[in-house]
Amino acid sequence: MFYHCKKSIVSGFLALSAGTVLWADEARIAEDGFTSNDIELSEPIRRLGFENGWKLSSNRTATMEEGRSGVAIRGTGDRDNALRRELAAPFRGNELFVRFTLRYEPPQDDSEFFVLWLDRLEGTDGSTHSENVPNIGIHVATSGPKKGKAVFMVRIGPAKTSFSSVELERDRDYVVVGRLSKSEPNERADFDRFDLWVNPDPENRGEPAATALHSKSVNFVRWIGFSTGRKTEPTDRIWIDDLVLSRSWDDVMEAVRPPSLTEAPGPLPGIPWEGTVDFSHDVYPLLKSRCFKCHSGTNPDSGHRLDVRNEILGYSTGDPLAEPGKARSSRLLEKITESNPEDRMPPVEDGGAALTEREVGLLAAWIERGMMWDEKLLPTPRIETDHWAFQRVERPPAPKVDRTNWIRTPVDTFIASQQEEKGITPAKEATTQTLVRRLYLDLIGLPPTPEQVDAFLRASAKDAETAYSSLVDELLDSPHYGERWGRYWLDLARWGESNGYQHDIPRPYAWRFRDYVIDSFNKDKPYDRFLTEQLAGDELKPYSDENLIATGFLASARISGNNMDKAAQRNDVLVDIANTIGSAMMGLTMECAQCHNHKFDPVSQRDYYRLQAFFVNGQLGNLSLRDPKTSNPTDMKNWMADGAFQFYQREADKLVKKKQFEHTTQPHTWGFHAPGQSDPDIERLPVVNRDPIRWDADDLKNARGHILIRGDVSRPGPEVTGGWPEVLGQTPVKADGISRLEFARWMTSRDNPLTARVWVNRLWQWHFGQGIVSTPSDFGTLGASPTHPKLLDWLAAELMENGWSTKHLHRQIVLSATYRQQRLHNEANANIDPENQLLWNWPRRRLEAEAIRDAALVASGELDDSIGGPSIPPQREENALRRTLYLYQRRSEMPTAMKMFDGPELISSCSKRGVSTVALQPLYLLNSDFMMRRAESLARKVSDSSKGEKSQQVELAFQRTLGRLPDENEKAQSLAMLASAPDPDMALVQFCHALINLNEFLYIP
Amino acid sequence: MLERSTLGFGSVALSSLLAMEGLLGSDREGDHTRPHLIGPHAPPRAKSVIFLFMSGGPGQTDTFDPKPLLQELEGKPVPESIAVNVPKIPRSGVNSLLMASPFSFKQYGQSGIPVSELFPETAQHVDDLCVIRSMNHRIPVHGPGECVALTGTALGDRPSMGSWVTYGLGSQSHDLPGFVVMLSNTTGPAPQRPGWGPGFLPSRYQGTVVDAKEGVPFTKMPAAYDDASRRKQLDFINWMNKGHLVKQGIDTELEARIASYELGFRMQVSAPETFETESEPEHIQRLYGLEDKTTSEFGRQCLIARRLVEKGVRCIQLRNGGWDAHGSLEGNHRKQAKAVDRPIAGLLTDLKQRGLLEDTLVVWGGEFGRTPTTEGSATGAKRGRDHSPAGYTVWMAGGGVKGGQVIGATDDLGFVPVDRPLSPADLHATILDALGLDQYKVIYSHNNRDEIPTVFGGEVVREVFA
Repeated sequence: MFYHCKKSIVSGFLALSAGTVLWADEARIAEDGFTSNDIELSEPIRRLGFENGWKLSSNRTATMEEGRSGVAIRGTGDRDNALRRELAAPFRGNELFVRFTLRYEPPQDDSEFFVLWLDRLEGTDGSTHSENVPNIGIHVATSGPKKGKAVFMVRIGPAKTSFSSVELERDRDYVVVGRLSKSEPNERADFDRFDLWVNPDPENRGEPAATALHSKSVNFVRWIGFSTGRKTEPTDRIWIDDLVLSRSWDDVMEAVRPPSLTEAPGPLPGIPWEGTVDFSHDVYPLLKSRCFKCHSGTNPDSGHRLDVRNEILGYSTGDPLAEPGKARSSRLLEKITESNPEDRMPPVEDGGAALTEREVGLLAAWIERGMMWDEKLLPTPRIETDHWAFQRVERPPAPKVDRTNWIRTPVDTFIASQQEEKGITPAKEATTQTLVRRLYLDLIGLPPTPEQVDAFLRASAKDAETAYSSLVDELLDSPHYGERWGRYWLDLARWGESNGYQHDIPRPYAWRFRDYVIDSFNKDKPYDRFLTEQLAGDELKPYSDENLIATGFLASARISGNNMDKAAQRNDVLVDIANTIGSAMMGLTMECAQCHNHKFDPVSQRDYYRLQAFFVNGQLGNLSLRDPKTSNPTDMKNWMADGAFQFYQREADKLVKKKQFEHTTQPHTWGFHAPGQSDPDIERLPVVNRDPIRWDADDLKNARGHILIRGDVSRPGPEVTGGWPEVLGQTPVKADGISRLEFARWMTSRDNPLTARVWVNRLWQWHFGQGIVSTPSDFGTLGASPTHPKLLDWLAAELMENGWSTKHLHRQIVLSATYRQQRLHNEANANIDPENQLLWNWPRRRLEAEAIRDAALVASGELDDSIGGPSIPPQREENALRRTLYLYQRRSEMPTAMKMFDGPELISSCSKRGVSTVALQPLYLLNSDFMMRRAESLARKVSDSSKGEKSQQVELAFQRTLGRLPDENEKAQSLAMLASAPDPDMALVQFCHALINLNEFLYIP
Repeated sequence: MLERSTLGFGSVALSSLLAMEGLLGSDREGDHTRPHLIGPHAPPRAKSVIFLFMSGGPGQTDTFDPKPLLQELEGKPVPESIAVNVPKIPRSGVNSLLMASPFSFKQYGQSGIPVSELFPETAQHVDDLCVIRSMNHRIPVHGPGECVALTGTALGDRPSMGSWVTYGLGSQSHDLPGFVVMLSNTTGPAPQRPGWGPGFLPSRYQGTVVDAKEGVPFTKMPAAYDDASRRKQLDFINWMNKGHLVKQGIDTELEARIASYELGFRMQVSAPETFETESEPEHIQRLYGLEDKTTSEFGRQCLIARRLVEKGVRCIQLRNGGWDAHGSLEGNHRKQAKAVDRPIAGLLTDLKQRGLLEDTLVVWGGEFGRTPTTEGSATGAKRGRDHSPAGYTVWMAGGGVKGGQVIGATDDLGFVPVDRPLSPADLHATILDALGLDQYKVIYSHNNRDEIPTVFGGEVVREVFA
């Protein structure tokens, strides 16, 4: 029963007061709660089921009052259509329920008239809407037991009026319900029956109070309106509220307000409390002794705290336990008076007894009388934390170390200092041959060619240090650097070229975001700028295509193609965006706070929905580009997998027939667009999706953020505006709220304690395989502690104080002695630090899926290393042997190599690739057509340059695959293998094939 | 195991081999250095599970949940007394007209459980079946529904049940993947990758989709090889890899990779054998309906499923598409059932006669059922039913299941459970329990949060078991 009441309150007040269009109920056709008293009725405030606002008659007879819910309609002594409104879509069903509350003022007993009509046409101010039109309302009975009295009635035209025996009492609230139905379920048939109930029992509708029958009426309803007549005096005021049109009885009944609002309230539970309620003296000791054990303090296990008044009011969860003056609907009282001991509070196992009747009476009185509180005794806590990651980044001084001659960059001092503390000695510097391969693979994701190795060895022989740093510069300047490091960002951005979910329909121009990321890395775009463009590129001035394409970060959220619950479909996108920003940029597990306050971190549900609120005014879509230099390929067949392309075309054709889509050659991208916020000249082009999220610019402009109670999209709680987690600082209060751009500025400010730390930790992780914080997307209190906290802060400060330059950070790391160590097991070190956390040798790092496939193409000399552009679908893979990140990334159809070697799932932000070792991997490397072809090409190259000389073949093959010459043993074994097969060509292929299977080939040395 | 390894490593190689095969797994993301034993937590009733997944949604009132009242109310609206309890989900069908099942039901076996004429062969095994008539969830769409049925949630972002099982128990097979998926009759809604995907679990636990005719992917050697040359090549690779390892000292991951080449080689040899159904005696082939074109596709997969069970494969998922009978339900279900009835019965018979049924849990069901009402305005044989997640039927057999019983009941028309309502998560908990896994102890740390298979609830249905 409680649940029922609760739901009513939510739908009656909170949800409707917000003017939201996001409503999940299937039965509901339209509704208006008239609760936003600050709005002009005629404004196009969106309500469920209506496109436009109410139209007022020129008499302006409908008004709203400050602080009072509902709309008042006054009479004119003549026919007046005070209010009328058009449904978003005509109702063409067979059964329509309508309900509203009505109160007739003032208390003068005279003849009255008032109706709600349902018609096909709008009519004018003075139209009667009576001829064959369904009406429901008040009229003076001309027949029946109440003849001559004002009673509730229904009619389908004046001749077919049915008067009920319910006489109108003035100054009383009534719930009026009508059921309009057709006896023949057919769109063209007229409605021929109209039933009326007054104050019905929701559980048992029983017989109607009156029924009008007429074979001739309207066959659908497009307009509804409220009319007064000659019997409605100018002093009469009819209050109307909570109007609902629905397909179901239950649904209109759910909107009925709790009985306490329409009937005299019942007694409060417990023994009535006599005298005043003194919080400190009476209430506090009771709460403290019986409730606080589980319901107080930061993050109580129960999820509810009773030691903060705001929290009882539902400040952070949107779900109040009690509200002042509303004891009867209080969940707190409900829990303590619950008759089933299993569900009761305090719980049975926790001391047993229920609260006494007197104690219940006390709490009831306390709530009913305004929930007085003693702020000194129980102050509202300031959100504070001493968690290291939430403190401002301060640059630590470089520590003093003994091994000064080992130090190459400041990074080494931090590493050496901790090693010395533990008695650990670092490994020796790796060989030049190892270092060149390491740098190539790590920085550009491609192994060096034999020529590149030779060049470095020669330069190194002259001046090792200069050669090394020049190579670092050269590689960081290589356009392939962005391909390697941009891919890491694409993982974090859960980027893919399709919508995901069941249909997974392609997003034809999603590849532009991939190129944007590559290009940004190559340009060493300052990281703060990089984030700003991705969060608010559509708002940035001056406009540029590049900035708009950057919003592909937000737009990489998945969208269902067949979710009929439109509110849920849209909410899933907002959740995806909020979770990804929390994870990728802030390193916080924000997603935990979607349904409840975070269990471990000082992040509330309110914080979560405030973050989400920055994005509620926007939607993903195809957005126009305008730079004439922007490339504009349109041959999608060439970049989508065959099946995906055909699916896309079929769905597009269906929409073309419905005139909802047109193929275009206008250049566009897949991005995020918020009407009213984005650059006004951005044009939104239609999208191909079977059952898309509805696009309506006005709806989006008017959309508001809400706390969703328990994360349930059908339970919107209080409205919230955009803001960041309170623990990270107060969001400034501004009249029109904080823009996304301001959010981005906060995200990238020097004072933000997370952004830089999280980013430098990721860079460290991608160089060494393991971050300084090993939970790269969880810097919260349950995240791993940094192994080198000072180094982390030093790197973060270094980033921010050097123009947020990522390449500057790379140099600090790869020029260090720490980075140049060889990989070598050391028993003494391993006993102290078995996991190599203190980096006493080069960590083991298997190449990622992309680099494995790319390395095979480099070895075979077949790599087409062109940069950017549309993707390569599976059917064209052999015709365009490009880097793996250009293979078409449909979420449900990932390239084989990526599936084999732990590619990302492309569903949520991926901060770390796994490394699994399974038998299918060698089978793929040995038996797939792709790897077989590479082996053949490699053998051909080797054979062509060796003129059949076997020893030379072995050397060449080693150089092309492993970047080094074989030693004597290896050479002997290799020659033996080449000699073992009868067909020397075949033997060479098999030998080459073996080399691209080796651990040495697959691991960064 | 050591004897079978030609590499001659000591205990380190053994543990890395175990880790690799999932007998030992790591319970933390990104940590593959410390193997960790997960289960079983209790003596298992079953060692393997075969999920016969009927995609599209077979109608419960047309298969295992007869509703005589439907015949009586044929063509009439849903009585208010039943309609009020139907949840408000899209396409609940509650406002449409009732449609009697075109199929007759008959009682079978000692238990006398009624089965429709669609499954005359499977019905012979009814005393081994535990029919659950009270399954329900709230997702009325195929893709997300399939995700709910196989992963527990609609979003498709969590590991599939098969991946959890493989993670929890590892594989008993040394030369086959631990989780094998075969697809048949893929018309209709597309197979959902999350249904066999690893979610956030390491990708080694994902189901391997196998073409019943082709076998495990990449097990066919390129034409350039014969067994001898491949062996020589592997020996060279191993020799090189060992040399590489020696230079670096101890490294369990590199050792596991070395061992994976041996495993791959064994898989390459034995996998094609496993998929070679022609070697089965003719009467066995006939048992599964291999000689008949209508039953041969699913029959072959059922037969392979048995062979995989014999090899110790943990999870076998046979996804049969095409049950989505929005129109012409009678024709659709006759055709669909014909293709699977004999193979399923054959599988049960064969498992039983080999003594495998007691160790093998067989589960049958779709992502949801179908409405007791007809959909749209079609008449006569053109009539079909819409999706109905609010109440549907699955059955289980073997693996400690107490056969010949019915659990739960729907209302008199088959809309919603009125007794013992059960969710897909309950089914998952029960499957895990049959395999000796405690759902609360199958823990994997992802994004620094301890995840379990049934994170959104789910309780073991104890009465399923004898």
